[in-house]
Amino acid sequence: MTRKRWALLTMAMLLGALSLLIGSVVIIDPFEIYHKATAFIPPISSGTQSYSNAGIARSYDYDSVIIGSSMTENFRPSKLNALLGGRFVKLCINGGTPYNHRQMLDMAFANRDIRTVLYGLDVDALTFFYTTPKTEMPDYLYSADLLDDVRYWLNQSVLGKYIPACLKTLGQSDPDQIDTMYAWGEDFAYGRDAVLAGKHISSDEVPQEERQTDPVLSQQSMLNVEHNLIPFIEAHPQTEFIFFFPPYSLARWYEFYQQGKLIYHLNQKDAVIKRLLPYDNVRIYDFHAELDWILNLDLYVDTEHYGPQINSEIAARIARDENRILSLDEARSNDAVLIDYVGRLRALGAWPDSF
Amino acid sequence: MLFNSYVFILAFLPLTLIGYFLLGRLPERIPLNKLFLVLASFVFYGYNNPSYVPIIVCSILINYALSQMMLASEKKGLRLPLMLLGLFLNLGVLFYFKYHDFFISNFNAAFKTSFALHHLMLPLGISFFTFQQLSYVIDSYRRTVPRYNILDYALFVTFFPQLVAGPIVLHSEIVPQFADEKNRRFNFDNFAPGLYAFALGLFKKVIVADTFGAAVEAGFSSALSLNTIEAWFVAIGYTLQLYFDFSGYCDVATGVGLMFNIKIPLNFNSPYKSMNIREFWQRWHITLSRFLTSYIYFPLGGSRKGLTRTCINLMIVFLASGLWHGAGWLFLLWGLMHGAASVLYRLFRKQYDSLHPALQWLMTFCFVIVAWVFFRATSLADALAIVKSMLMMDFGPIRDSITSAFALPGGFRPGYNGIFMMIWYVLALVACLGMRNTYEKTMDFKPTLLNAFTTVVLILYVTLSLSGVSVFLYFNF
Repeated sequence: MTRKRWALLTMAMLLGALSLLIGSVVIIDPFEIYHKATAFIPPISSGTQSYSNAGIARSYDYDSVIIGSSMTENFRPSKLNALLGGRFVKLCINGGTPYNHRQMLDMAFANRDIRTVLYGLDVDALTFFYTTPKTEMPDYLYSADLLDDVRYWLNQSVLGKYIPACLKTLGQSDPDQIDTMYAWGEDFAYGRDAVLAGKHISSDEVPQEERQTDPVLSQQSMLNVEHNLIPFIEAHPQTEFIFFFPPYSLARWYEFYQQGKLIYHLNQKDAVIKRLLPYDNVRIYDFHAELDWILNLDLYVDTEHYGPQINSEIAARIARDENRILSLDEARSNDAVLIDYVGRLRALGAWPDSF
Repeated sequence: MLFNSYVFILAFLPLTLIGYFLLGRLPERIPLNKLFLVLASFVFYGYNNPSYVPIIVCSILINYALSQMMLASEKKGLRLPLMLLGLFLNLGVLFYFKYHDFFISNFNAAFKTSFALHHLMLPLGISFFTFQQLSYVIDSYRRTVPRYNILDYALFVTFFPQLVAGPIVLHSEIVPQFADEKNRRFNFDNFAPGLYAFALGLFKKVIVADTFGAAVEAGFSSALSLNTIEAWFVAIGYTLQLYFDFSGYCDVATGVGLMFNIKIPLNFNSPYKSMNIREFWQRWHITLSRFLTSYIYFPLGGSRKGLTRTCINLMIVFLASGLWHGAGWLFLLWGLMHGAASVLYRLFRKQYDSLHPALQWLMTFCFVIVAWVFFRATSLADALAIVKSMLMMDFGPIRDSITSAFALPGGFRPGYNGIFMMIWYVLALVACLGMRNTYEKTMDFKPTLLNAFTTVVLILYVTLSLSGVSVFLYFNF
C-alpha cells in the first residue's frame, strides 16, 4: 500500500466512523435535543436531569413549566393541567441553585410562549452565589450554538450507555412518563424515625439575628432575586408567575434555629415577598406554617422532603387560591407561627407525640 | 487551544491544513500561506485567553528588530549592547511573569518585608518562545545566522504545533523547511506518518497520561499517609504520567508538523531506557538540553577548563534547568539532584560503567523516579514523606482512591481495579522500556492496514473520551 492510499483509506474510515457515530446520536437522540422520542422510552431520570431538561424544553409540547428543587419533583403535570390550565412540563433541578432555575427559565422562554411558571422557592437556596450552578451543567445543550453540540454527538456516555438504553426499550412507550419523571416519592421511607434519625433536639439557646420590621435582602439574596427572578417577571408580563414557599417539616426550621439561621431565613423570605408582591403577574403562596403538614412527620422522608400527596394538595390549594399571600403582614403572621412552634419544640427538648 | 479538544481535532487542524495548502498554490512571491499560518497560530495561542496575544506579538517584533540591527552591524562594540538588551528584555519578561512572585515572597519571608505579589497568569508557553528567540538573538550577535524576513521569523516562533510546549526548535531547523518550494504542496508521504504520530501522541497524552494522572493526584494528595507499596506505585505512576504526557504532546507536535511538511526535531528518545544520568539527559527533553548546552554550558567553558570547572558548570546548567521548569524551591532541588548525579557520574564514570548493565539501568531509573517525586510534590515535607514511605518497608493494601483511577469505563467490576492497575503499569512500562518510541515508528512508517486501524481507533477513542455525561445525584432540596 502506498502512503497516499493509506492516508486516504485512514481518513475515509475516520470520517465514516465519525459520521456514523454523529448520525446515530442525532437520529436516536437519547436526550431528545432535536426531536421528542417516539420509538422508545427516553432515559429520563434524576441522574440525567440536567441533560434531559434541555431536551424537554426544546422538544416537548408545553406552555407552562414547573421550576424548582426536589420540592417540586413530585408534582404531576397532568394534574396541574387540570387544576390550573395549560400544558405543564417539569424543568426541576434537584439541589438546584437559583442560577440553575434561571437556566431552565431561559430555555423555556427561548423555546415557547409560556403561560404559567410554577416556581418552588427555597429560601436557603438564595444564599448560593448567583452565577453558580449546583454542579457542572452541560451548557452545550442549553446554548443556541449548534457546533458546541459536538460534545453531545461524540460523547462516550451517550454512545456507550444512553443509546443502548434507548434501544432496549425500542417499540415501547410510557405515556405516564411526563408525570412520573423525577418523582421520588416511592423511593424512601417516611415517618418520625426516618426524619429524626441522627437529629438532636435540645433546649439550648442559639443566638439569632434580629427580626426586621422592614425586611432587606442580603447581598447574595438580592443578587439572586435581581438576576435570576425579576428579569423574567418584567420581560414577560403576559406570563403568570406562581411562587410558593414549600412546607418543610418543623424539624427543618428547628435545624435552621440550631444553625442560628431561623430569623435570617424568615427575614429573607419576607424581603423576597416584599420585592415580588407589586408585580401584577405574580402570585405568592406560603405553606411554611401549614401546621397540619409540618408537624406530621409521617408525611416526610427527612426534615424537609414531603411526599407526593403534599404536592397534590399544594396544587389544589393554589387552584383554590388558598394560602395566598397578599400583604407582608400575612407572611409575617405565618413566620410568627413558625417561631412560636420552634420555641415550643425547644422548650420540650424532644419531638413530642403531639404539640 | 489544547491539542486534546474537539475544536482542535475537528475544526482548527483540518481548516488550517486546507487553508495553508490552498494558499500554497499561489506563486512563491505571494507568501499568503505563511501569513495564514502565522495568523492561525495566533488564533491557536489566544483561543482561551486572547490577552496573551499582544505579549507574544511584542516579543516577536522586539527580538526581530534587535536581531536585524545586530546582523546589519559589522561592529562588535555595537552588537554587544544590543545583545545584552535582548537578554535583559527576554529574561526580564520571563522573570516578571514567572519568577517575580517567587523571589518577592522569599524576600518577604527572609527580611520580614511585605512587597506586593503580582499573582499574574503565566502567558502560555512563555518559557518556550523566550528560549527559542533568545537563541536567535544570541546567534545574531555572533552573526552565525542568515537574515530572515519578518514573516519567516514570526512563523519560526509561532508555528502552532511547537508553540506552547516545545520542542524548543532552532530557526535553522524550521525556516529553511518553510522556504523549501516542494514543502508548499500537500504531501501524502508526510501526511500519512504525521496522522499516525498524531494518533499515537493523542492516545499517550489523553488516555495513558491522564489515567496515571488520576492515581498520582490521589497519591500525592495523601502523601503523608502512604505505605511503601503505594508510595512506589505513586512515584512510578508519576514517572510514567510525565513521560506519556510530555512525549505524547511532542508526538502530536511532530505529527502535526509533518502534516505541514515540517520535520520537528526529536524531543524524547525513550529516556527510561537510559543506562546512566548523562544518557538520560541525551534522551529526555532533548531540545532543552541542547539549548542549555549551547547557550550556558559551552559559553561557561564546558568541559575544557578542568574537572572542577566542568563539575561547577554542570551544576549551573542543572540549576538553570530546574529554575526553567518552574519558580519554586522544589524545582531547584530537583535540578540540584540531577546536577549532583551528573557530577558524580563524571567523577566515577569508570567504576560505574564497569557495573552490570542491569544494575546501571536500575540505578538510573530509581534515581529518576525519586527525583520526580520532588518535582511533583507541592511541599518538601510531602516529597520527603513519600521517599521515606518508599524505604520504610511498611507493606499494606493500595487504597481505592489510587486503584479507582484504573477502573473500567462505566465502573464495571470495581473489585478488580487493583488487577487493572497492575495491567496498566506493566503495559506502560513495557511500552517505555521494550518498544520503539513514536518518533522511531513515525520515521520508519509502514503504511499497513493494522496501522490504519490503529490510527482510526485511537483518534476515535480520544475524541469520545473528551466528553461524558456526569450523572449527579443530590437528594437535598
